[in-house]
Amino acid sequence: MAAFLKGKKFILCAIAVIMAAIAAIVAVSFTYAAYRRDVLSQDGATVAGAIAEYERGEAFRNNVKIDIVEENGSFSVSELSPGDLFTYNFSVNNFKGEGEEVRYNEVLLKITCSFTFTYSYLKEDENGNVTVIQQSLSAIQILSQEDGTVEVAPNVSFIFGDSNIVTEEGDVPGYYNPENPSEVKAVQQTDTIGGIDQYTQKIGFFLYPAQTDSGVNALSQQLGFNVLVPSQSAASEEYGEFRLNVSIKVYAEQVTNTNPGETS
Amino acid sequence: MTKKQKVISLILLLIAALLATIVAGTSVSRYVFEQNDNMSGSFTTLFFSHNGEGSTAIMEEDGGSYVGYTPLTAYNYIGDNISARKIEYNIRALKPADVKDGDHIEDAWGTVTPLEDSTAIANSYNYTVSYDSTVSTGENENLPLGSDVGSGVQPERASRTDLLKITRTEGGNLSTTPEAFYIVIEVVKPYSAVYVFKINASTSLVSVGATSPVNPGQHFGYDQMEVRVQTSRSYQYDHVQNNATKTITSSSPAKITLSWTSDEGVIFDSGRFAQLTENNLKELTSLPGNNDGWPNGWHAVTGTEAGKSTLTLTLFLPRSSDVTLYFYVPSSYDCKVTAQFLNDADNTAYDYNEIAGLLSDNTLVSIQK
Repeated sequence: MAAFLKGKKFILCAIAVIMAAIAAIVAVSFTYAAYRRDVLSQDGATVAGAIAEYERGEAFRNNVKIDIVEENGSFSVSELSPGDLFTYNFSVNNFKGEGEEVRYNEVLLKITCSFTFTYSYLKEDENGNVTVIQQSLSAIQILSQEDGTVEVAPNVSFIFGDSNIVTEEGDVPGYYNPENPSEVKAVQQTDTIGGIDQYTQKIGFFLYPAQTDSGVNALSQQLGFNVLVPSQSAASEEYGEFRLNVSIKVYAEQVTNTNPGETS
Repeated sequence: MTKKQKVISLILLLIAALLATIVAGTSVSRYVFEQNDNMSGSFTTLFFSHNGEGSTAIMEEDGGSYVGYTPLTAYNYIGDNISARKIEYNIRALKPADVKDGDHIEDAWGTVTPLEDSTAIANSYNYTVSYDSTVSTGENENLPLGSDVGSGVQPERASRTDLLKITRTEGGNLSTTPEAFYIVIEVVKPYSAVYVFKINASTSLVSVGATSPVNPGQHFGYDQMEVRVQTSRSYQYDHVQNNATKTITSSSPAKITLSWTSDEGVIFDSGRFAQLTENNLKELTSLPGNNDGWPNGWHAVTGTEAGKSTLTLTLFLPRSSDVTLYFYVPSSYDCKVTAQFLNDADNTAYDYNEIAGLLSDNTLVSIQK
C-alpha cells in the first residue's frame, strides 16, 4: 500500500481513473442521443407529442398568382424576369393531418425559420468562356465601410402574419409571441465563404400547444418572403439565363423548462 | 502529499467521475427536429423532347466515307407540359471537348448528363452531323421551335422534323452490325441546356427499333409501343446460301414482316399509320405473289397459334423509307422481324438476314411477365 501511494504509481492510477470516467461519459452520451431519436419516432409513446408542420403556400409574380411545380423535396416556379417581385407564402402549423387523423402539438416549441437566397447567372468572357456567377441576396442595405455608399442593396423582405417585418443584422433571432406580430423582426447573418459574402436570414417565434383549457386552438402561423429579382447588370448576361434558388429550413426545438400543456 | 491525502484524493476523483456519469446519463427528453424545403425559380421552364434515342442511320459508302440520313423530330412539350418560350437548338456529334472525365457531359450550369457507353463515346469522334433540310438553311445553325407566349396565354404544342446527314469520316470499314455513337442537342434559348442521345449507324439495308414513345398513350389499359422501320437508298446485297454467293438487286419494295405473339393480342394502330404515311402505303387485301410484283403497302392478319394470339404485319416499303408504327401491347408479348427482297433478275424472293436492331433469333422485343 505504501509503495502504491508513492508518487508515480499514484499519478498513473489517477490518470487511469480520469480516462475511464471520460470514456464512460462518452459512451453514455451516445446512448442519450439514441434515446432522443427514439422518442421522436414513436407515435404510440405516452410522452407529449411535438408538431410543427411546414406547409407550402402560394407563389405570386408581381402580385399575380403563378403555378408551383412540385418535385422531389423541392418545388419550382418559372416565368420570372429580372425586376419582377416574387412573393412566396407558407405556414408553420401546430397540427398535422386531417379529419380523424389530425394530431396536435402538445408542447411549447421555439421555431427558427432560416432562409438563403442565391441568384445565379451565366457570364461569357471575351474568350467565349462561360462561367456561373452566384450572388447571395441580402435583406438589408449594406454600406461600404470605405465611403458609405450602398455596397449591397436589399432584394429580400419578410412577411409575418399580415405584415412586412424589418430585418436587422444579427445571428440569433429574437423569439416572439405571434400574438404580437408588430414586435417580430428578422435577423441577417453574414458568412464569408471563398471570399464571397453569404447571407442567411432567420425569423424566430414560439409555437404554442394546440390544446388548452378552453379547447383545441389549431394555429397556422403564416409567413412569407418577397424577392426582387435582380436586374441585369451587364450586356453580356443573357436575359433568360438566371436562376433563383431559395433554401428554407424550419427548426423546432422544445422549450424544456415547461411541462406539456404549459405555455411559459 | 501524505498517504491519507492521496487516498482521499483518489476517492474524491472516483466520486466526481461517478457524478459526471450520472449527470450525463440522465436522459432529458427534448424534441428537436427540422424540415427543409427548396425552391428554384427561372425565366421559364423548358419542356423539350425528341425521338432520336435508339434510331438508326443507314449508311452507304461514299468515296472512302460513309453517309447516311436520319430524321429527328423535336417537340416543345413533355406530356401535358408545354414550353411557354420559343426554343432554339442545334444538333451535332459529340466532340472530345464535350466529354468531362471520360464519362459525362455538362451544360453551362454544370448539370451532368452521364455517358455510359464508352465505346459509343469513342465512335462519336468519327462522325459529323449536319442538316439537310428544306426548312433549315445551313449547317449547325440554331433551329427554332415553338414561340413566346404572354403571361396567362396557354402555349401551343409544336414539333419540327429535320433530316440529319450523318457522315462517318474515320473508323475503318462499317458493317451491318450497328455502331453506336452519341449526338448532342444543344438548346441555346430560352436558356442553355444539353441533351445527349445514342444513335446507331449501320450499312444494313433494313433497320428496326422498338421504343416507348416520347409522349406515350394508353388504349383501354394497353401500353403504347413505337416501332420504327428504315430502309436504305438502294437494295443490293450478297445473299449467301450453301456456300454460294448471289448478288441480289431489287427495285421492288422490301418485304418486312413483323410477327407478334402474345396471350391477349397486340393491336396495330392502322389509322395512325395511314395518317403518318399520308395514305401513301395502302392496306393490301392479300399478300402479293412474286410474279405480281410487290406494290407499296401493308397487310395485317390476326390468328391463334398454340393457344396464343398472333398478329402478322407485312410491310412493303420502298427505298429510303422511314416509317413509325404504333402498337398497343399487353403485359407479355414478343415480336420477330424478317425481311426479303425480290431479285429483279429471277423474280425470286431472297431472305435478308442482316437487319439492324434485332436480338438473336430475329427477335425485336420480348417481354414476358
